[in-house]
Amino acid sequence: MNNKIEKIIEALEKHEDLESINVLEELGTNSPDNEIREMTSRALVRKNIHDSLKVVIINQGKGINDLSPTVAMSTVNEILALDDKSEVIKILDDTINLNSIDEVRENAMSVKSLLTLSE
Amino acid sequence: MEIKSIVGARLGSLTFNKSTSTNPFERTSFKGKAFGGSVLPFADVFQKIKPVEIQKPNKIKMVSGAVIGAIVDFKTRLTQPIALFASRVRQNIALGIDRVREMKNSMIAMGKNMHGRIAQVFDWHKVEESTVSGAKILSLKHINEKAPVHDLKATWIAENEKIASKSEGKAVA
Repeated sequence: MNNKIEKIIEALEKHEDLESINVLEELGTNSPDNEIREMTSRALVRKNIHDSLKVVIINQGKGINDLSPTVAMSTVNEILALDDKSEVIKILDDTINLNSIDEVRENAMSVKSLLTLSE
Repeated sequence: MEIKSIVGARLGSLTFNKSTSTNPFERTSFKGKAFGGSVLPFADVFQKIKPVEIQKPNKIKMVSGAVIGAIVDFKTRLTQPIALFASRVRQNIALGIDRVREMKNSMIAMGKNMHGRIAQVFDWHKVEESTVSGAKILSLKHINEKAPVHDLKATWIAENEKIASKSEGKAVA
């Protein structure tokens, strides 16, 4: 992967400005490069705030719903590795109950059960 | 007792001659012993074995054969190394041509690498560029979490454009 882009994603992950989430979503999760999408999803999970977690859980074709299994699985792994899972569980519950897309709901349910099993 | 000892002595004194005919009973016959005096002169109807004459090798032929062999051997010994040497020279020339071609390619690659490295070094120390919107395109050194988000975004977009133009260039080539 491009060295500069890698550094930008790392910088945006640690950035306190909430605008960084928008940049990661706009340029990272929509990138045609699998590696960039994977790194961006992991960065958004590691941020561990409501807005960043929402991007990788409720959006079709992003994060856990990515078409690339590598990207989806590495996002799930990153979620499982979180120290504080309270926010993620809240968003997963909301997605299971309220999301209109079946596929997104099913994926959220799978991740939720994985989280329950891993605890 | 006497008869037995006499017969034993007689038989013991019998000598079996070497076979001189094709008669298979020749050894066991008592020719000239038991029937001495009444032996028919032409009773042995089997032919006599003629001793096989072993032809003596012709020395002149042997010497000439050896000389011819030596000449052939000498010829092969003389011509084989020459042929081998010639093929080796030909192979070396072919290899040399290939190496020259490879060297040309590696020189081009080396030039490209050097160009890339030099560009990277200059990029590292490059002063930040300003875009039309006011956001700066950051150098690798200035990319960190303290940099403004819009600058990071502008840098990312610029990098994407660079990658796209490179891939377009490759596609054209």
